[in-house]
Amino acid sequence: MKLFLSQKTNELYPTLKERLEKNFQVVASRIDASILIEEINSFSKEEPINETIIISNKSDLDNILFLNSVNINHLIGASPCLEIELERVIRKIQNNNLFGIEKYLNEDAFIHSTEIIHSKDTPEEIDKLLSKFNYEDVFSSPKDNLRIVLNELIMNAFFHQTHLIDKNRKNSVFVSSEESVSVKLAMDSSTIAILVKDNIGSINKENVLSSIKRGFVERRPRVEGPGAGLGLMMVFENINQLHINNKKDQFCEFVGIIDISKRYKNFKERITSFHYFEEE
Amino acid sequence: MSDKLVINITKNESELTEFLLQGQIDEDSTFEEITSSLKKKIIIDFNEVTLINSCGVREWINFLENVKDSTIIYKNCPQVVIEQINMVHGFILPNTSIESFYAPYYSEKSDDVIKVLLLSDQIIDGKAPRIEQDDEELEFDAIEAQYFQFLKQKG
Repeated sequence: MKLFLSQKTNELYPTLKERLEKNFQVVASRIDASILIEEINSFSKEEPINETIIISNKSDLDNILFLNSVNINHLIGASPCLEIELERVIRKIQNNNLFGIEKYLNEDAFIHSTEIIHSKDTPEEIDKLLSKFNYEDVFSSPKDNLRIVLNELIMNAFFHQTHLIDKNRKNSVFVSSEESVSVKLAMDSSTIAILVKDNIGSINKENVLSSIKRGFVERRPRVEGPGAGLGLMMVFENINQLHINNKKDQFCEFVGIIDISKRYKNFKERITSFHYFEEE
Repeated sequence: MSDKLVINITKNESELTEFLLQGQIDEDSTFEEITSSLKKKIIIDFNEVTLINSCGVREWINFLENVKDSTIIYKNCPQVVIEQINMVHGFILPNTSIESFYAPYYSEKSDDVIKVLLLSDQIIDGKAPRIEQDDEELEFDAIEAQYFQFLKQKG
């Protein structure tokens, strides 16, 4: 897999090339590359390449508007964790190994999981899962952020079932054990990761991005419709990285990553990354 | 459901009722306890609210439509509530105000973040007030322009 870093990327992130050269082939010409790594301000729609990874120092709102206007699957928010995140994403593309939570974590990670078959069990199952970890190395209340993200993603997994006729969120939804919503929570010394997997696989990138954009732009709940239309924006605002791994018509994983820091300010200052992977 | 919203009356006077909310505000939350005992002034204590999800936001905003004739005061708003108020418009109407809320402060001594209860009046020009604890000046641990945004919201 050949990488090309644009001139602007090299100027703004001078250590990146050297770091990537240790594990990947970095080429001098963009024509020879299969992955282009580009800084958001110098991105040009005119010269598409197989995979483009955008690095952005803009706000979450600007990034979501950008992603809604181009066909790009990967945008990384500039952060102290940029190099690690970039390497992991390139490996994911290179190996076409898209699914599971382990790839976002170090070897010292602990992973706990649960399967939910009744939508009304969601709050209790979330609390059980959250109680399995000690958060003393993390800012004071990651549980609050994780609770919101898990709640929104799990409810989406239940209520986006294609065969569901009445999608009113006040209803109870039961699924069979084969169709259960699978939830994982994991932590290592630098990362908290959550994974929510449905057994639908009907997600598409444009709808996800459009829904996040709606939340950011309108900042009000939908008056009509089964959901309030704010959930994915809330998810995006309560994590540092969002990875969507879709196996078309079979299942979809939403993975949320929080970088571990004692300072809440660091968590809030981090620009959220967006990644979309799909396997036909 | 372990964390279903519970609403209790903690003060009941001729022109004022105070309610304590406990648990999570979600799609199943109803606020009949409040709408059925409408007074001129309603104080809502959010101290024990653990989550407001996206459908809970909608339920809350719909509820506010039913109490437009009362003065609503929010108190003891936890960080999770303040962040939702900042993220979504509609919590603050012309008849609502936030009296007090929690804000994160960092203590270098204990290497930990402490939630400090602040009064809205303590925020001058969008700046976090100086807080001292055990001879240490704590550092505000969020982005002021973001965290105090709710004070600029108008109904």
